[in-house]
Amino acid sequence: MRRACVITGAAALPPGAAVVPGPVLLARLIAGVALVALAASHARAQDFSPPAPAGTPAGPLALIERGLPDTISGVRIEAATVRWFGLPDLATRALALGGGWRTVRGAVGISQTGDPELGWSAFGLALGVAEREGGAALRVVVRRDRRLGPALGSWRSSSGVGVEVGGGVCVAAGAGLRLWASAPQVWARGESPPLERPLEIGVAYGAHDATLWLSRGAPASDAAADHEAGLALRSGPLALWAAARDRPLRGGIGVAAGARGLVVRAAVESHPALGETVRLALGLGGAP
Amino acid sequence: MRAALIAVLALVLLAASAATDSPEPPPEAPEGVDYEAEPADSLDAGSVEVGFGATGRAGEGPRRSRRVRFSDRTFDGSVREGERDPLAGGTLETDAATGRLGVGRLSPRWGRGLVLGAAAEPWSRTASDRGAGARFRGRAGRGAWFRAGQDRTVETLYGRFGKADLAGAHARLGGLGAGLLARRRGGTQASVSLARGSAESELAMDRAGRWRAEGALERPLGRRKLAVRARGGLPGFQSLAEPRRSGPAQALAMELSDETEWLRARAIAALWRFRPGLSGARAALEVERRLAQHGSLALGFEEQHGARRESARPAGFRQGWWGEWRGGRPALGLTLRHEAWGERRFARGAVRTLTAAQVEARGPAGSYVRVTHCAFRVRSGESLYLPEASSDRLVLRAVTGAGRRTRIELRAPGAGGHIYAALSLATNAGGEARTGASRPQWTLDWTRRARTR
Repeated sequence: MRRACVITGAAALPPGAAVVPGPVLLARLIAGVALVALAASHARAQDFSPPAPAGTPAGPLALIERGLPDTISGVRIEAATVRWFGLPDLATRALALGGGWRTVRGAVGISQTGDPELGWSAFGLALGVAEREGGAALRVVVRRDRRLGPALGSWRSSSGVGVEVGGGVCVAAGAGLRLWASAPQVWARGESPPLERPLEIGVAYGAHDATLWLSRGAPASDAAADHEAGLALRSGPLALWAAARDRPLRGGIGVAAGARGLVVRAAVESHPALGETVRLALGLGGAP
Repeated sequence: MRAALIAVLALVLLAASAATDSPEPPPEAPEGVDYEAEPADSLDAGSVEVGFGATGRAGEGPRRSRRVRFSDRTFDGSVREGERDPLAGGTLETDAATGRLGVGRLSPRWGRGLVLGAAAEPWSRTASDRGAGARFRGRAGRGAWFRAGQDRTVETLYGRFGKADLAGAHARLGGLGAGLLARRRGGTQASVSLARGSAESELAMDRAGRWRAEGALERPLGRRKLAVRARGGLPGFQSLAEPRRSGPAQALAMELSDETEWLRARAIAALWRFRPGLSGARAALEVERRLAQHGSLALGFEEQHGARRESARPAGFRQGWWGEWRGGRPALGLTLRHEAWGERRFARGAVRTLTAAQVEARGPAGSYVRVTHCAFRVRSGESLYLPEASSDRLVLRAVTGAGRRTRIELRAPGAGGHIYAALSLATNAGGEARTGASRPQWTLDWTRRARTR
């Protein structure tokens, strides 16, 4: 895992350099351990991770993150921040603009994770189609190490830049059932993505204002398969959800509220060993 | 039409896999390598089909292939040619005297297949690639044949099967059949078979007195159907033509199936023994519920013991389950499949897992775009084959380790025929891992079918 190596500092130091314990190295070590743990815990989210239930993806961030479009048309803007496992040095900030016209859905976004020395930036693009019976989308994410600087030319650098292409598809199966498959990393080139995200398949059942979902993430090269179960409840402008995942067993809750086109979402997921991951998002347009 | 048929065959194979197990090559094919099969679709009389294809990997030159098939009232044939194409070869058949004379590939079946045309798996009732009406064109041997009479009353053949030159003759009178197969350098096998209704039996014997007998029976039980197959004999008996397909010396297999408008259920139980100390068993249950709009949900459970092949190392105890859902609309379909196999009860101690999703968007004139993505994990020593249907063949792609495979297929009308293009991207764990270590694999094919009169 390339980024873990970079962040642990070993690969960043010149040959023969003395390793002097200090705040920077300590921060690198903490961030590195956290990322390794993140990978080991088989997290499914990455640069554009919105606080939203897996069974009912909504918004431009979810479209870029998982390639699963929703049926809502119009222009939407969504900003989110994620603090992974309570580590301030390992925070993700993301901004996405999405739009829908007739059945076409699209989103574009930028994201930044970690500090300027160790973190990376990402640019995401997704395009797809959606209607009541189902939808599909392609997503592309380009990442670049932040240490390369803001120059546009650095995006063409062969080192520190990586790209991944994937997509998702969802189909309504009738009687409130909806099934989906998301494969965000079908093709990858350049620097390895920070996390391996294999195929995820899931099923959601919605009745009245409740949605129950189950999903399964295929085994990654270095981690076993994992599963998620969740329940989302909606009441007018409010939505609540709770989800549980295995390997290791953990859970999280989330809440969303909307008024006059403004949507606020928040979610907390607790990991037995790594601490809490907090997600916050603010959106214009759409529904909670 | 042909590509559509192959796609249907692939689905049938997938369905068959859901009913029994992951598809796997026949025992004469080496384990752990790709296997290619040719679907046995028919060609209308007075038609000709031409195809050109190329396949390759990034960084390698393309491998080209050509094929021609034609069918006239009296003259049929197919020829395939291509560099390192395992399906290369041809068959020509024409009317001669009171029968049909042919040269080329041979895949005959006599009776239950004890001498010629045995099923590939110990639990299978009939071979899917041997004899008339098989779903795939087999490649048991090459040679010449002559068939005479209605429904092949007399059949003679001469050909090379593996490393043996064989000559044989088979005659049938009503349900009674008798055949003799002789090897050039010694060795003779005789077969007597009897078929009546849905019951069929065969007794085969060689010059040394080693024998094998098999009987198969199919009976309705109300709306259900029960199929039973029993085999007995001496372990030393081996088919002269296809010794690797000789199968177990003793076997007992039962299949109970039930089908209604919305539900299909199938239960299989089989026991077999190749020789003392080398036996196997399997039991499987599959239930498929048809859903609205051509959708379906299939669930299955299976347990295996012992050896599946005589030449392979016994795998021991295996238990597995699978689920497959198909749904969507005619224009956009989604298939999700998951299967898990373990060496302990309830599929724990995973030896093989596969999660796959396939999305297909269909357009006019038989065009489609299909994307199949799967993630697998296969323990060392285990085999997993992913079926990949292209325009002229079905490939069982052997995968191992942990990885992912994506296949993007496009079929569209073009240049007076149909163009088929496929791109496969594979990523295996280990080595360069996630950045797409395996080189992309591509296929391009053009097929045209036309009437000659």
